[in-house]
Amino acid sequence: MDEKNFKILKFWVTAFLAALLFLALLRAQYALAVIAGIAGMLFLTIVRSTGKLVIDEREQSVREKAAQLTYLIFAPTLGIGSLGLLVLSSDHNFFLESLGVIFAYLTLFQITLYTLSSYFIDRKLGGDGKEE
Amino acid sequence: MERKNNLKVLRAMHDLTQEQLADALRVSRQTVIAIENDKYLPSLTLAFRIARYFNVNIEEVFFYTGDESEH
Repeated sequence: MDEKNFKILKFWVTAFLAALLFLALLRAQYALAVIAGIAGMLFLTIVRSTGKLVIDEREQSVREKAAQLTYLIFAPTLGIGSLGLLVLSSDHNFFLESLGVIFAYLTLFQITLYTLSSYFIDRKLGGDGKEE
Repeated sequence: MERKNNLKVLRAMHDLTQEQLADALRVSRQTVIAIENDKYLPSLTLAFRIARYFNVNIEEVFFYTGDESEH
């Protein structure tokens, strides 16, 4: 990734976090606002350009591993969370049930996205078994 | 079997700083440091680029020590 693409990425992530912070304050979701603020500060401090070249192959590898770790933690958390909420929510607690359904959809979306990206990346890297 | 490299030695022989070598190889200084300390294994492309830069064979930069049958 060159410096231009890195700046574009950084802009969109920052814009998203700022919008989330604003909406959280508007809806009086103060915990969400605080977490969005902390995430924004961490992102702006840690993910930054370290020199003339923004990302070389080692930094690319660091990001790939960080993304892998994020998925490894996030996907099971969301999946187990959705099952837990759907099982534990009583008939009258629509909020928890809705949250469970949303988590379940997000988990399914993640699984589908992983399957598709894994399939296409595998083909791109020669996994289709075609002889030249 | 242990992975080793001669990057630090080659860099010293050519009287280069880590910054200068990083610029020449178009990588960050942190990457040069990580390779020198065996904390990062470079791609084959970068390994060849390093060998070509010092005008040596790739085995003179990166090598394994010990018995190859060991795992």
